[in-house]
Amino acid sequence: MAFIREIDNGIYSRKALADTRDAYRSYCDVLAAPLPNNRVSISLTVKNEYMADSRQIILEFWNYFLDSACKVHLESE
Amino acid sequence: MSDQGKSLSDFLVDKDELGVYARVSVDPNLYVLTAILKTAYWFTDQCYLFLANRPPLIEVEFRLKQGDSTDSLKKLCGDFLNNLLDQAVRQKVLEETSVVRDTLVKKAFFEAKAALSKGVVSDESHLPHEDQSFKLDPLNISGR
Repeated sequence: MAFIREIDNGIYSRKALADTRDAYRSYCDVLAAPLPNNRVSISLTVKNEYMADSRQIILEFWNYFLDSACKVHLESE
Repeated sequence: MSDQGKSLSDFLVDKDELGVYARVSVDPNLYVLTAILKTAYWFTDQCYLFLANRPPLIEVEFRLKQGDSTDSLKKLCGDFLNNLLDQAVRQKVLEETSVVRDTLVKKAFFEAKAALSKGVVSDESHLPHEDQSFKLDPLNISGR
């Protein structure tokens, strides 16, 4: 089952997405589809072997993504 | 419509496929994005967070790492908003004092670059001469 959320590139940068996708490559598949107004649709599908922990994986993914986004934002200042 | 009695933080608790969550809305005109991100960064070890840009507000979503206590979520939101205010003030002070800070740093580097005062000299008497090489080994260090 895919979990879909929309993000704003002004908050979650592309670099942060690339870093997070790379970090969670073993646990889930990440699809990013660009939307108008600097937004991106992110679709997460947890791999079958980790389905039992899907809630934790999805939420940890978003926390990691936010941490990376904060670092990228602060480095750019 | 009157706003009397309505909370400005717009606190909401709801449930979806990932469990119970709480949401607060913050105004990016009042709290700069940097302050929001810095605060969020400090909270990622305590809970799960997600930021959504819903102009003119930014929504911050909180989920507990374990359990689904509404009271704990409310407390988290309150703590977050207090910390956000703290970060916003720090950010403002940082901006206001940036010129003074830069001047102090420049001065410190300038003084470090200045010529050495009289009496402070570099002792170079132990530097090897041109005809000396590590291969000569007069103290037979390699043989020990």
